[in-house]
Amino acid sequence: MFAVSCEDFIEKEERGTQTLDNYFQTAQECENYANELTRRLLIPNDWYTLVAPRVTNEMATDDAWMGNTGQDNSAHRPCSQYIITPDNMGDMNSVYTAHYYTIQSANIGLEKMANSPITDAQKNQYMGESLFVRAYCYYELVNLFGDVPLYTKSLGTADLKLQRSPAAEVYAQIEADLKESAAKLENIPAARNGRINKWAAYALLARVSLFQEKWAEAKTYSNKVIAEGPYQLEEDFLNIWNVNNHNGKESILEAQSSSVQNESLGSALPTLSGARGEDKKNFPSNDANDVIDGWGWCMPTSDLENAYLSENDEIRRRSTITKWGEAAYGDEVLNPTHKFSLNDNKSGRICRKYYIPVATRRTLDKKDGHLPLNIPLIRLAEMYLTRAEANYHTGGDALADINIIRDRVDLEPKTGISGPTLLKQIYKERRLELAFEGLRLFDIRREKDPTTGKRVIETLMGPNGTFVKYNLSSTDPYETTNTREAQDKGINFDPAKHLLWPIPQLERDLSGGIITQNPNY
Amino acid sequence: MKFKYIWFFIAVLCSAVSFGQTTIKGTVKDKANVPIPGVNIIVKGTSNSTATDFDGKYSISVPNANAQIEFSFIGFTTKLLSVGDKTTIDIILEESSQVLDEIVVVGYASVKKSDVTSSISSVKGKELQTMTVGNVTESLQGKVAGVQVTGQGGPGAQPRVLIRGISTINLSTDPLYVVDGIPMGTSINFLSNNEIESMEVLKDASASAIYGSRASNGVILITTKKGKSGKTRFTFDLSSGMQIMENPYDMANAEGYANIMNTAYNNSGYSDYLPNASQYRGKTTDWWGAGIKKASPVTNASLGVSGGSEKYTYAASLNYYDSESMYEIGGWERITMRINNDFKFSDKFSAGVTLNPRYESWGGPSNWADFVKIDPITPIYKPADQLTGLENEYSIYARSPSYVWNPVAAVKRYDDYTDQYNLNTNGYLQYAPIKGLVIRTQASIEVGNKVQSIFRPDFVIDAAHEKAEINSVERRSTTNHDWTWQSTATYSRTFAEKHNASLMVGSTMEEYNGNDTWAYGEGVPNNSESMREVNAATKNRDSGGNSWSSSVMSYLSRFSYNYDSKYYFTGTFRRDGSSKFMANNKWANFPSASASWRISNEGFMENTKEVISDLRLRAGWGKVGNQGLPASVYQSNIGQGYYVIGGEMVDTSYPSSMANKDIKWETVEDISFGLDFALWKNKFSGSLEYYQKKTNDMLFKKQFPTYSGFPGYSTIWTNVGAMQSSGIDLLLSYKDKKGDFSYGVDLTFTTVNVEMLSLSAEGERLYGAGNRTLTVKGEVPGYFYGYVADGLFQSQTELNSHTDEHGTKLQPYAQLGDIRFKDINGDGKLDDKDRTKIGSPWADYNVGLNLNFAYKQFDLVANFYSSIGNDIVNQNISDLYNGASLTNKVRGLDQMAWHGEGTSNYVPRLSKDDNNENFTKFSSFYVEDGSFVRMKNIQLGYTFENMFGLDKLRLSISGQNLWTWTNYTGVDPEVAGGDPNQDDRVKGSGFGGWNYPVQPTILMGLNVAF
Repeated sequence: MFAVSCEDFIEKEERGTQTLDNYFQTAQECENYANELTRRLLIPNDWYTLVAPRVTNEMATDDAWMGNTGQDNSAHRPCSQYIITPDNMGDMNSVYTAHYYTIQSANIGLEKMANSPITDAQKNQYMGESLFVRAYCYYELVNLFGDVPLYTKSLGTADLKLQRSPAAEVYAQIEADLKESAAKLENIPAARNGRINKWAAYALLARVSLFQEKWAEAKTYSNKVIAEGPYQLEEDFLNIWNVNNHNGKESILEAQSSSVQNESLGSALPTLSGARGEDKKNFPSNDANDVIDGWGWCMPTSDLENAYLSENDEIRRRSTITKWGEAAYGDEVLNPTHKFSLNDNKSGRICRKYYIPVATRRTLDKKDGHLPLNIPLIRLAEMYLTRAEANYHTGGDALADINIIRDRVDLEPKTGISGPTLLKQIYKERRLELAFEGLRLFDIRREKDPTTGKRVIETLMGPNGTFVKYNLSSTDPYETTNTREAQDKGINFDPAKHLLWPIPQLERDLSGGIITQNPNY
Repeated sequence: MKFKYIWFFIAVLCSAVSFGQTTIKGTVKDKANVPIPGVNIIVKGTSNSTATDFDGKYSISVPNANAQIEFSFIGFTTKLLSVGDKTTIDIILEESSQVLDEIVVVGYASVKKSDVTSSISSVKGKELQTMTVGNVTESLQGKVAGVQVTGQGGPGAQPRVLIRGISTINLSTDPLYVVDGIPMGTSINFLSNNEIESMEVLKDASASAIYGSRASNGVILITTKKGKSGKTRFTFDLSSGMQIMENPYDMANAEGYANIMNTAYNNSGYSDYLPNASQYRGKTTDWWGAGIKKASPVTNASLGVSGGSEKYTYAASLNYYDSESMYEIGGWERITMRINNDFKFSDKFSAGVTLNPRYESWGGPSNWADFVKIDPITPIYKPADQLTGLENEYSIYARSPSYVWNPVAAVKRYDDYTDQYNLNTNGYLQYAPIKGLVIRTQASIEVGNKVQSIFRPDFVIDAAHEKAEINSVERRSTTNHDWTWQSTATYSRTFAEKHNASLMVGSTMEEYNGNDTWAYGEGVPNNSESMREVNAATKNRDSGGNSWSSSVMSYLSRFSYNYDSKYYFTGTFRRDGSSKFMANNKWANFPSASASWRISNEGFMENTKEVISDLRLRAGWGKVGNQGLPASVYQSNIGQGYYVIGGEMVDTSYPSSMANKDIKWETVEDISFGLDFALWKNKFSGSLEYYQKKTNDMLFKKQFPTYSGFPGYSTIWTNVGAMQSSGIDLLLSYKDKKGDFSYGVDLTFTTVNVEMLSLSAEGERLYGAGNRTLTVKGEVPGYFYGYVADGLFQSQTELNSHTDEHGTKLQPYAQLGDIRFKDINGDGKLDDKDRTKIGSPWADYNVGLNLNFAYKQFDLVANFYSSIGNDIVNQNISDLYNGASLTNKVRGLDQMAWHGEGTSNYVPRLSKDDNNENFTKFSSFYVEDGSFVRMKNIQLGYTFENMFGLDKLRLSISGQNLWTWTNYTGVDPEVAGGDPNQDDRVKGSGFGGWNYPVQPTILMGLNVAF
């Protein structure tokens, strides 16, 4: 009797929290869990974990400078200037850690949901979503780091002897997950609300097929999305990145945002990459409420601007780049001369895609953390461009697809080009269409220059890279005046190692050296 | 103002007069005919008592000629005399041979010091009261061999106390504090040093095993002041002074900063950062002067009253401590009261109750480093042309381009204060039914409430970076109610005259309960003082709350025996059950045994008595535990968050912690040997001890490879391995008296060697402090691990020769004046394998030196403390010497830094880009010798005896931390553990940064007794 009460006395449990052991009992619990996994595709309300690495990857291309010349750039510079080492990873540590946390969480969820007392339809939905998330994380990891540890079961402390799996195996798992995801989501209607659906799975399959040069599969899946999916191109290109057009008709999957004021669920990207040093005096209203000063990272290059100009591509140029003093495209009345601090801006340009219109700014008591701009992760235009590239390699009609994309932004159709010229045009169209949407670095790492057979990044970067040479002889009034960000960006690029980022040293240390390093780091 | 009332109170008390019947006078002297001051004199069977004055004189009233007077004094044999018809009694007291027979508190009992078989150091309250400190452990520094105290600056800061090194690398390293028998946790901030009668440090496991599961870091037992029967005695102690704060660095002025930054930019191929530096001449902003007080007041005061009769004794004290911060606002204030009552109902029944109400209030900015780091060009306030007159009072400040937030503005906005209210009630009942048997039951209830109130005003200093668009208000209330109940029965008996035995058995139950609620709101209509309430918030209200509980129950026993006061043995046993472990690991046993041999009591030592007053050998063994991990680490918890689906906010959930169901007790087992001696009638005494303690099943929040995806940066609580601490504690004490001059010298010497014996897997490497420290088998825990900086490249030849065998440069981005990193393994590559041990945060030894002198009415105390042989990582270099950051630099950095062959081999060239990673690679460049010697305290006092109607009036002046010798160039060489939130308490030890320094303090003191 006494013994029993003693044992009770020293029996205490943690209160106010559910445990993994008794979770996944209802459809709502499974849905909440899948919601978090979906959120973790980008964690759009957190500027640091995945958003900062995303823009840092843009800065490692010919599209963007670090841009902010007034502040400490040590998080971005290792990648941007190709001086990255395993000890000095800048932003690239958190993406590795965060995606593996998500993968382990997805594995736990998949195992638990399989045994959950919910309907098969519910199981299919939440497990299908979870599989997609796992595939998406591996897709980013394999493109950033190459060979990476691969696992599809939840790991315990005794299971941590994994080696890096070859990239091909990682891709095989990505494909398997996406196919299973699409199968499970087969009968779930695409609700266009931010939930993952089968079209997202097919679209990502198209992307990873293209990245592996599996042209036939790339064509099959992109064609399936275009032909069977419930999506259409927006008539107005600017509408894709519109704060009032969340999950629009072109959107296959977006990272979600909201301006609700009692939680910080806004998008961090417009803050991190917004114009730095706006001044209310530059707005017709002269009202401080119209100002949301950004942090000024990831500023467009004049090289990118020139790419638009060379095609007379006004719509996409102005939807992608606002030059200092120009009207904010689509917001001409309230912001007719968008000015910001040139002293802090390498190129005198900001990214229009990440811009929050003045009317929206006025409605927000709290702006930082509450900016309602969804971030497209996959959209229909990419599928046309993927199909075009796949068609090019399989002898199909590549021109038709790029002309659909060009037509939407009122450009003349391309005719009569073929061979390397056509492939270069496809690459260029991809750059112009998808700039600042998280694809440029992966694209230039995989795309091969049809004349030399080298990776496109090798022709752009390095001491003889065309991008480097352009900048060193540039006459751009902004970039050549503000030299606080080095003009020779990319000159340190070394094709023997810089097609991948290094594995973080911490990870190698924690694994006791089982996790190896990428070549030449 | 405060003191006016206190003096009024004293004046009222002073007017009390006492009457006597017959008065006896006399003088008490020793055999050498020297008067003995302070001898206790009691009229037997009454409450009449007094003490001799400085000349050994006394006077006392007795009721009649049958009265007996007892004279007692420590170190002398007590004498009892009948009064008879005498009115003058002069006596000579004999020095006692049992010189060490003070009473020492051990766990759940107190024993004669000579009966102690374990390693216990005793410190009298008086020695702790010479310093003015918020946390009494700071004045313990250097006074006990085997105890390492590392000071922490700042109001309310807690020093780090290590008893015989460390026995864990992830949990708290602080000892358990037991106040009047009740375990009070690992912080002693709530206690005034004036409340303390004595402090016992249980250093080895044979002493502390009776506290079982929480004793692995040692136990400090504190006895508070109790009343003595006799005349009512009032004391008043006051010390008050100033804590000095000087800028620890000589920083560049505006023009100098511009020159330094321009050099850094130019060296990286950029144009000037601040063109035309001379325009800033004479335009330096004095940030330090604008926000940091040179001197901030500190006050410690206590008013005490004690007395009683044979049936009832009491001691009550009111204690006040106030330390202001170095800023305009903030500090720490503590008011405590302690009322001890002891009742003797009969020869068999006695009881006592202590009430201890407490109030603490604290809060204050912590951004003093920003006053050093912010650039000296930015003005404090925005220039007039940037102001519209419509800004609120928090928005008139200027933004610095250096990333450092305007520190003056931050202090102005600061409003985050905590009030804490506690009441501890501690009572006991004791019953002695037959001779030798004592049954005692004691219970304590601690209730407390902590209320934190925060207000953050809205402001716009910089629309992008330094602003709060909406104000917010927050209140957090945490309540705790803890109780302890312990019962013991002790039977002691002497058999056949020479066999002395004692047996104690008991049980304890402890429960710790807490709950909190918090409320938050935004959009308070304005920032005025009276609106700073959650009720005034108009938007985004939020709230939360939870409760928690943990419990321990134990059975304990102690057997002690000695034969003829020569051979001693003590054994203890405790069995603990804790709520923090799963069923199969809930209970654990903690035994101990110790023995001593009092050689000086042997017959063959009789003829050495003149020289050797005491000599004994001791040995002890014991096992203690550690359960100081968060509750319920055997649960995998689900965390909750939000996302957006279809434009609506939805709930999300995720794994927030990972379970280890096999988690079990961390146990520490130690052995210790000691030699105690006293020579020449205790003039020279000391003890030498050797110990070795071994920790098994170390509880550790282990970081796994991050691909594991475990929450919290891939960490899980795990039992990982074993470690060992060993070392020597030495105490030497000499005291003597020549006429009016007396003096004493105490020297403490402590060595600690810590070694990891095993980790969870062979070859495992545990990283800490962001993989800047390494913990591996066979080494000290948390040693500094990085590259070796081998000077700077002085010439092109040196630069060109730092290559592999094919002539490929090891450091491709290096330029002249950059750091040369050593290729340690000689593989022709500079990579992670070239990292090595570049320093250790652990001292070779610590020495304390405590001196006291007295001449007539004067007394002088001086305490020194030193730590020798440890290294410190001076993290501030990465701000102060680094051209890549925009913070202010030390004055003349452009000349200190390399700027041509031979100009420096230490500070690398100024560079905006630092492509060589001079500052981002963790290397021996950051590691400095952390040895120091510090004069903790020097105090000069003068005492008036029996003047101004007072028994005693002492005035003193003192200085604390006035002088420090060190080669460390950082803020303060007293650098303790790393961030406990990162589990770097031990693994992140020795990282010096912008820690609040231990401040020099100058004080005046007043002690009154009447």
